[in-house]
Amino acid sequence: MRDDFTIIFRSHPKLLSSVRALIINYLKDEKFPKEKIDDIVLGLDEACTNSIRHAYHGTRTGMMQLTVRLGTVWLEFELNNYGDSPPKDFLIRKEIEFKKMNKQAPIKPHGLGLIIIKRVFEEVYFNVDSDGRNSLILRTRRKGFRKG
Amino acid sequence: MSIDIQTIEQNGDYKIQVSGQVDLYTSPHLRKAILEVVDKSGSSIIVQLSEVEYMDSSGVATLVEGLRSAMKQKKAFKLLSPSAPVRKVLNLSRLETVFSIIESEEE
Repeated sequence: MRDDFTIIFRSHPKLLSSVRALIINYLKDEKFPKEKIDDIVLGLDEACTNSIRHAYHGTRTGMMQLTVRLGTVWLEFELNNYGDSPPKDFLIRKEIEFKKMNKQAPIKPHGLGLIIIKRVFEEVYFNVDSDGRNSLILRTRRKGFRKG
Repeated sequence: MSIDIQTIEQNGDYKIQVSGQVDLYTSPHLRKAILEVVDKSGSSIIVQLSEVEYMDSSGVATLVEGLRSAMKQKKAFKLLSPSAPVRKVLNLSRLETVFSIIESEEE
């Protein structure tokens, strides 16, 4: 898998549209189908949004680093920030929460981002490094299915 | 800013026309407009979404807040002609059945 590019940007919500435009152009150049591009861009945007909201609590001066990697099978994004860390097992906890979700339960406007991320990407990993870096890895197959 | 919001009063009820991109940056503007209109409206609120080019979960959360506020005030809250990107994010959020979606104002 090759590292195609890395960008560093501030945790300012205004920059999200520029990040989306960059990723759209890259995926178009790599001949991804439009529907897949739309899904990937949405999932990645949700990951950036979650970092701004939960790691930096809306502070607009945090550092975000996004690396894009492409292999013969996988497209991979690594999104890093140095903000507050969630519990290491938060993805597992959320997974359990989602499975328990009841259609009759009151509608909650929060937590939708992670639901979308988990539906768009086939593989999602989270890690906190010893230097305090939060690292989210999002992987999807270049061709193939979308999770139901 | 990459969002445009127009509010139209129709016989005491309100329609909000949204165009552009709804994300973490722009959704607070939509939230303000929707909640104001929900309070002012007589019995129903229509949010036209046919010209929305992009919406993320911040936009969906905003619509959910509008719906909840309208339900509390016993007012109807309808989404008019959501664009493909809006339908996609509603589907991925598993909330497409929560909203009343109409294709024309006569419905």
